[in-house]
Amino acid sequence: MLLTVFALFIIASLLGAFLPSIRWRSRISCILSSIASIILLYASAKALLGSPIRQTIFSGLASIPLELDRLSALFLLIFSIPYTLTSIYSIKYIEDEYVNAGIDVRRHSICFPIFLMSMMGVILVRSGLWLIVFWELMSFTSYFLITFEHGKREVRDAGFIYFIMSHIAAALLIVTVISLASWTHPPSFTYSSLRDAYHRSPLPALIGLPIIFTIAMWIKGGIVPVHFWLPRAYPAAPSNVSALFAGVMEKVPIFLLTYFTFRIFDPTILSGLLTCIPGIISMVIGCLYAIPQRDDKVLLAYSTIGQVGYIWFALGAGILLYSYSRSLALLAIILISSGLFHLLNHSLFKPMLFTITGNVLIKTKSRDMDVLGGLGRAMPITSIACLIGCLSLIGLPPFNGFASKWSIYVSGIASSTVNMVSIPIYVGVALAMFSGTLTAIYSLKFYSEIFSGESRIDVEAGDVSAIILIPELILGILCIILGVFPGVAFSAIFPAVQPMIPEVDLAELFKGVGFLYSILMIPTMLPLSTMYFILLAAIAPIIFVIAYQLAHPRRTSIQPTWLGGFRHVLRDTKLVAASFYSEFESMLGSFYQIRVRRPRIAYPEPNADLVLVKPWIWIGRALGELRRIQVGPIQIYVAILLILLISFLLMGVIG
Amino acid sequence: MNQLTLLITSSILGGFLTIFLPPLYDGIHRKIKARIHCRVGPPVMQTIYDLGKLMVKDDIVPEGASSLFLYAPYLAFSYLLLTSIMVPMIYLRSAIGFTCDLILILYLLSSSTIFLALGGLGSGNVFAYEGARRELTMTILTELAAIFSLISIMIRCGALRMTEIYEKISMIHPVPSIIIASGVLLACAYIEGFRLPFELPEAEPEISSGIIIEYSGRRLAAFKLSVFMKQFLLVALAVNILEPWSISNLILGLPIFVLKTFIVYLVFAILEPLFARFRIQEALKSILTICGISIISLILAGLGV
Repeated sequence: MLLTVFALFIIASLLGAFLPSIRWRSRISCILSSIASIILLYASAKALLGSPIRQTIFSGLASIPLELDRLSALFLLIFSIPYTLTSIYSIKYIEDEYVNAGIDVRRHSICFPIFLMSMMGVILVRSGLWLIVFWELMSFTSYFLITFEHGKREVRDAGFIYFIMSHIAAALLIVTVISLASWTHPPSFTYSSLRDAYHRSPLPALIGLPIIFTIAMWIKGGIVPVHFWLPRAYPAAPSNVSALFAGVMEKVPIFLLTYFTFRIFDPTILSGLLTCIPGIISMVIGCLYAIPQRDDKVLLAYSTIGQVGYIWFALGAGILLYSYSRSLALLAIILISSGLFHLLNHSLFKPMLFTITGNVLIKTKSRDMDVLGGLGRAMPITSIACLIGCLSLIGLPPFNGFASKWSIYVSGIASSTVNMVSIPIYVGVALAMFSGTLTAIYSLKFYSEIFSGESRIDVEAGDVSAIILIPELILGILCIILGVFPGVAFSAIFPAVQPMIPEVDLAELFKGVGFLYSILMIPTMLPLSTMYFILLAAIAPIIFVIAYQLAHPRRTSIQPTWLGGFRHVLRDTKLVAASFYSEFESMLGSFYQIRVRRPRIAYPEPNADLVLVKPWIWIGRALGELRRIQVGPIQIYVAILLILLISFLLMGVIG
Repeated sequence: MNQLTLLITSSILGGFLTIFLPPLYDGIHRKIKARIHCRVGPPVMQTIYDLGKLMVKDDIVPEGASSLFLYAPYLAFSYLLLTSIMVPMIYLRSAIGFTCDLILILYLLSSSTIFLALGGLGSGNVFAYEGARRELTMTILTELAAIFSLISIMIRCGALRMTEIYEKISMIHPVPSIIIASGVLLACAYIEGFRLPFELPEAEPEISSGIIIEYSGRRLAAFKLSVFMKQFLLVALAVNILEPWSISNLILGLPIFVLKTFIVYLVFAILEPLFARFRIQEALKSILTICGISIISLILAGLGV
């Protein structure tokens, strides 16, 4: 079944390349991708419930060992939802946004299925070599998708920075894999032999390799010190691709980190700290920087950094507790599972919000929230979908964001009184709640600046087409379902996480222990679900009142909006998105001020967030010193090569 | 008495208190404020009369209003009604109590704030937009202070369930960090209730009632009641944390609770005429100070003081 999925993606890409009709090229490639994704959904659900699938494609040297164990199955299950829905969305989106404007979409129709396949491959392979291959495939296809509108300068710049950053990540990953493979006997790249090699490796490698690996994952995951490619790359890509970046590509490093930490390296306090603390930092920084943005996709990109920070924080806190003492395994598993639950939720609402910016783009050709406004009347269904997405992102009680954030808070607070290692967790939970309010702030700005109020832009009435709206609404419905019945998600996540933390018995976990019982609410998530039913019961009379009012409209009269005596409001004098939180922003002025002072480097233009970029500038300068060797005559290069070769030979002889 | 009957009675009573006490307190508030201004002032029941009158009036909906404008006040009201069942007021246990219910309560309260702001934003009016914008800006920091003080209470008590927290506090009280934290909660309640130095979202003479400008009839009643209830619930949380002993007493629980909240509202009423309205930067600065105090309580709680 996995082979079918791979084959379908490849066929989709080939058809996307060679079909004669431009229109059908993109359609067929998207339709085939969505079919493949549905098969993937089925396969991973089956593997999660049943037994793991082990499979090897090809034989001999080029053999690709695949394994669909529970963790992979969980991730692929999560991925296949945005896969399917975004593919369906793309069928019409690419047509409306690009094909109708006469733009050749071959770049998209070739790369899109391969991009989906490569991310799936990273999750499935169990060999270091093929991990690198799929990882590179993912980097390249995503690069081509980011630079889809390569006519624009900022898109090319974003693509350039993305290309460099993702290749630094790839280089670090290659270093990890190759150095592990060099210690294997007999030479092999499979994960199991890499694991043995790691445990036989010398002390510097024991400490160094996890650090190098984690840094590679930071870069790809958009974690704060190395996140600056992200707020440029996401807005540059077409909306369906940004949806996949936020919904899926961000999660690939999290899978690798979890898998490598537990299966190849050992969970240590160091790896816990390396995951947890950057998570906390990106949580706060991402949310803070999302607030003043004017461009809706940049806002969502920063928001992605913030939300991914939550996942990293929970994951890191779990690793930290588990490595500190095996007796805290239960708390650790709950923290990790809450993090993965947030990952699942984020893979639902963030693609939805990104696709909604796509709807707005189709309708208005603008991403500037100062220009947009009042679209709610022209696009009623989109605005409802956006509201659901925003409320889930904020984490209001009946939506899924609340359930996952709440379980992160609760398990974090529960573990914060345990011991010394929990100081970062204690700080992290407080900051997570702070970021929660910040999230509310920017997502309300996002919603209200695009959809509510008086319209600032002229659009023709009528929503976008149904093929675009239906995937978004399905995502919205999933958000609500998971919010009301979080137990469903946990009963899928626990079996996936438990094999990594074998100290906890699954049955015991489901039964719950002591005070954790009520944290987990496992049996059927009873207390929380009950609470929601009561919530519904409380809302019921209100719905009755509303229904009554709707039934008797004569009690309501419609009058023009009061404009303070003006006949009509001039559009130029209205408040715009830039001023939405101006007071708050001016209060944090010294924090945001950093964005304005730009360093004096011509190209590539460094990102605004300077404090975080400064070290990189220093590194850049140091590397700039290297240019001194480049004096021109070819003889010098040959000499350098010779010296290097001789020194390698000497090292070989001595070693 | 049967445990279940007790639970249900106390919850229903809590809901009633939450709906009917705050308008009454608001009437008292107006009376005291008038007396300080050397006016006679409206009768104590005036706010209740006002709400009743609004309930039977016709609704006027502006042309540009979105559906959020129509439903937001009711949604906020229903969330607060649910919260009122969850907050233990006159009996130690609440009908819906589970681990970390404090955080849920906080989220429900802030949800209602968000719905009110969304309602204002949905009206399409420029003044409402400005009011909602101000409310959201202030909410960031107020929520922050409330969250920090709640976490410090949870950490200091080493308990996550509200019932356990009250039991624990009544054993270890007085504790500096908890006293500071509940003080911060009271301050948050004052700010959330649109009282004078922080009355920015409504600011009558400045942006002509701002956030509620387009509301009328029942929706206005629901909106006003929601604001009252939100403030009352925060006050109820804070006073019971400050004085947790009476809550376990079946007979004295109710009168003492009413007395406690009455004292708090009395202080609020005396405070309000002392101030003129802040500008938003000043308001934010003073809320930031409150946040600082809440961080102090957080640190104290972490140190176990």
